[in-house]
Amino acid sequence: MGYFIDLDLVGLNWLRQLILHWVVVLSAVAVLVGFANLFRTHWNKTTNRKPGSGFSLVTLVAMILTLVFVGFFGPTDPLSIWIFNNIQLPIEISLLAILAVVLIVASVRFLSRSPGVFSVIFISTVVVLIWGVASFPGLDFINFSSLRTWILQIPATAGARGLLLGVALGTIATGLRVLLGMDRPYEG
Amino acid sequence: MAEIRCHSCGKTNPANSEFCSFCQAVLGSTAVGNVQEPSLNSEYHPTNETLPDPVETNQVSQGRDPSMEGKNPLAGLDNALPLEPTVRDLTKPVVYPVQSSETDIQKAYTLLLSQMVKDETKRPTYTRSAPKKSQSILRIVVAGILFFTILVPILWNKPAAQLPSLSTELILFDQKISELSPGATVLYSVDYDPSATAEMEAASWAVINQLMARDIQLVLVSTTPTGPVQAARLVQNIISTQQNQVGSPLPASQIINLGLIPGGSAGLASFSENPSFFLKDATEMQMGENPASEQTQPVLDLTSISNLAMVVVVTDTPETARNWIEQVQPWLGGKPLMMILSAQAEPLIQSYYEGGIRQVEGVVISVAGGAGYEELVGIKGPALEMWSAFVNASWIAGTLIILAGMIHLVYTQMVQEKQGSGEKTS
Amino acid sequence: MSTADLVGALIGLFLTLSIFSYLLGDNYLFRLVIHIFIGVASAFVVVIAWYNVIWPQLIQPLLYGALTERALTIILLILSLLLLTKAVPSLSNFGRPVMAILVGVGAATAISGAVVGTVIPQVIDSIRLFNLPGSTGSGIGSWSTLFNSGLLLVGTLTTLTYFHFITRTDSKHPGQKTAWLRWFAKAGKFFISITLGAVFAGVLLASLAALVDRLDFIVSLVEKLFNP
Repeated sequence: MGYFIDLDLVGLNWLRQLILHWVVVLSAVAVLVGFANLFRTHWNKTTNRKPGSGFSLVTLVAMILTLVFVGFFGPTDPLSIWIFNNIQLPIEISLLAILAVVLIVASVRFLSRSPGVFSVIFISTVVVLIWGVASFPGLDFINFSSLRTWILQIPATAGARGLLLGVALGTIATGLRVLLGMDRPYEG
Repeated sequence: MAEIRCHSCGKTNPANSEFCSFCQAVLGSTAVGNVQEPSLNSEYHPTNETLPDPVETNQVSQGRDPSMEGKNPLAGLDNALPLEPTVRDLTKPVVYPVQSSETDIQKAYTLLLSQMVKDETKRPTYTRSAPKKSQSILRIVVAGILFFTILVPILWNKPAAQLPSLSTELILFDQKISELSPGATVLYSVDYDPSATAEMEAASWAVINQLMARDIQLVLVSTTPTGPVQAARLVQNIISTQQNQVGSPLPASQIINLGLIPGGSAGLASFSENPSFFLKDATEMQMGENPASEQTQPVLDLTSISNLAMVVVVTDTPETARNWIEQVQPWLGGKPLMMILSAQAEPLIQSYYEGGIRQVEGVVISVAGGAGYEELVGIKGPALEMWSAFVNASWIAGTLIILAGMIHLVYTQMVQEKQGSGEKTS
Repeated sequence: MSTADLVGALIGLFLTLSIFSYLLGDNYLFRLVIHIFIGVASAFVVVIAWYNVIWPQLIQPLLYGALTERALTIILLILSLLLLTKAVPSLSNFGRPVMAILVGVGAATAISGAVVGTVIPQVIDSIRLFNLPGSTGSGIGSWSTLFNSGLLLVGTLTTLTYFHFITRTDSKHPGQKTAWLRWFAKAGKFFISITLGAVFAGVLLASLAALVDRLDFIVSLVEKLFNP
């Protein structure tokens, strides 16, 4: 309501800000709940000796050690940043790096798996946008950069705008359903 | 032919019938014997001589069978009330035929629905299929070509590929930063996933160094959980760069880290309306060298978000960018919202800065934007260092998709034709 | 390079190569490293949530705050404890009201953000493009701008039409869209293919940047080890 009417006039702005403040804190508490669930899942897997319990034990050890060291020293301490820089960061960046190979393989197999006009349009767009990043020496005669800019500014923006409006309208509809009690995703 | 009258519907049936052909009730011993239509001219006239004496029947007869006592409420009262077959048949339900009038389509839907309900209770079984050998070979070949193409410029220091021409967005970005007065406060949001660190640091390096060179007070904030650590890491890099380039330590109050704003859009809405709520103890916030340990007052005036000179959001996901645009931009009071985006967020956020209503006033996109911006402001950074390898990789990726895709398509067609002709001969 | 940096770099090298081993096929080393990552990343998130939000906004006001602040924080503490019961399956029902608050506030901010931040500006922008400043003049410039603006509007409308799933109810064409709606939806599919192709290209470029960074890291470290 505070977006559309001035709640200061009815003296309710303080309540709105209080509720938003509480939601911020409760969101952080929700992170603890998620962590507890994850811990419990891996703990059960380890104690019940299910398949893959060895890996669960590794996860538990990593969780506890990180919690102890980073929790004791603080997340912005040099030791914590060392752990982040040399353990979490290399793994995450490497996972995204191998995604490049996986995506190229998927694109190579795409046309043979689902041939059609729209598949050709999809692959053509991908190739033009990738080649349009910079001109390759010797291939300057084809202006892929300008074509890339035009595709991104006009047809891609048109489709994105339609998608964004669709998502926004869907968000409004779903939000109203939740607020009116027709949907209750918080049960269970 | 003898007939039997059904006790349920009263219709007549052949004597040897087990079930009534009209209502499917059970006939047989419960049925009344041969039908005798009562006639008005019948000589049977019940008289007092023929009717049983109610006094006699109500008395318990001398020779009655004690085993009959528990049988039913009327046990012992012989001939008082003849047990009609319907009374005995109360325990047995009557079976009525169900002749449904559904169409074939409805029957098919009913079967489908009952199958779906049955499947709901079934536990799904996931079978792990081993990848085909051809897929593994294709993956290894693609990886090998890609690795080789990237390693060549890294190992042999090949000349840098040509930079793309400067886009208007980069020029506008530079203009907006140049308009900032020294000492202005800029909110810098570190909102990218650690996996996108390489791309985002390359894109944002020149911007953040340009801001530091203009003596801007940088306020770091994040809505992603690992953001504060990423921000601390960024500060470490800035401090070491400052010491190398400028030679003097960074003032303590020049970089303030507000930490994490959880809650997604709700958190940003709270921050927009009441940013002072997120201020912490001054000693915890200051990231520069020699933070003032005795200072308890905040070193930052954040009573309203419109006090900020600029907001710069560095993110790799369109959802985070959209949250900032929807929840924060309306509260900025005309101050510019700038974004440094990953290539994957660019298509979906383009409509926010391409149109007449520029909700985002300047963008730097990915490594290409970062390299162009580094060239524009004259700061050599990671974007320019990785530029040649990045251009090689993008060209070879596009070529592989086209060439290998066509080869794979032809190969698949040939295999399918062989299989088809093999099936025909067999 | 200090000892800590060298040890850290070697650990990073081992982890990077373990992840890259997935290209040869799924193996135990890759799975081991992934499980280490899950443990480290989840613990990091918890510590950050504690240090940045729970300690300064929940615990500190309770211990050192003014009376009214403490009173309000007690209510927040009760809500937080109710939310924590979600971690225990037998007590999880107590956390439902708090989840309802979170979902309700999230829905409210999402609705308002969507209306004020996306729907209104994007709809205005879609028609504003036709207000050409030099439209009275002739020349390719104004015609190309007009063409581009028209294409943008058509693309937006046809994309929205693609997600329209109401069909006819007459007996001749049960379950089918009307003919003009089908053509509009096909045009929308064309624009969606281009947009999704653009997004895919973006993801591929981001992953290529990560690959370049990792290979550069490996080469730099090997050079430092053999040429200190």
